[in-house]
Amino acid sequence: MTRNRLYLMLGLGIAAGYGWVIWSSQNDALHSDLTPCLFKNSTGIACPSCGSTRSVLLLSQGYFSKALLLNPLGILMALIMVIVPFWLLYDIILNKDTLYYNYKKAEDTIRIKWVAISLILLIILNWLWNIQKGL
Amino acid sequence: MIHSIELKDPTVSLIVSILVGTWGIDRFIIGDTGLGVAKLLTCGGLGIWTIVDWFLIMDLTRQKNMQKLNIYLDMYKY
Repeated sequence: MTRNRLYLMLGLGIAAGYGWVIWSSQNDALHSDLTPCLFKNSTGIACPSCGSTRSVLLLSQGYFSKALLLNPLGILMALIMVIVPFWLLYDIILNKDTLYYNYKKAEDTIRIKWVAISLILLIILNWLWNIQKGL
Repeated sequence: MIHSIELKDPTVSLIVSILVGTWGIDRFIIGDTGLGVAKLLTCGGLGIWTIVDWFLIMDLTRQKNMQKLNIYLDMYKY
């Protein structure tokens, strides 16, 4: 993946993310059963990231602990959505590739066996918690 | 040695993509770890990215295989 391709994908992804969060907040997603999740729609069971939209919405209203309890991945997503646009602009304006370099470095770190196994375990635990919460 | 290159079967990626593409596993197995994480966190890009990847994943797998072969071929060019 080249730098420009990654930046284009990130830009589009972040824009879509903001669009989705704004749409959800206007359609009262906190109290609705509507979900775009293919897995939940086909099996009825929550997926590992189910509830992250609601978590981001709760966080945007200032309820940090509620957001954390609903789905901790929402906090991670909110952090990415706040930090990455600025980082992206910084790199584009100054014609640098710090984000691309760090993305590659993060990919390499995730591929280390023990890191990968720990992350997979965390995701599975979070998933079981999601199912138990009945998200 | 050329035997040591891990080439992926496009059909396998397609099956993985259809079954567990929502969690980005298809992206992980072709080596796009970062995009795999993105897909996992966003529930397969709200389901849309999952469906788009059903149509892209076979070509992407072939491209990744070609990249791996090129690295090998460049090493033994001279």
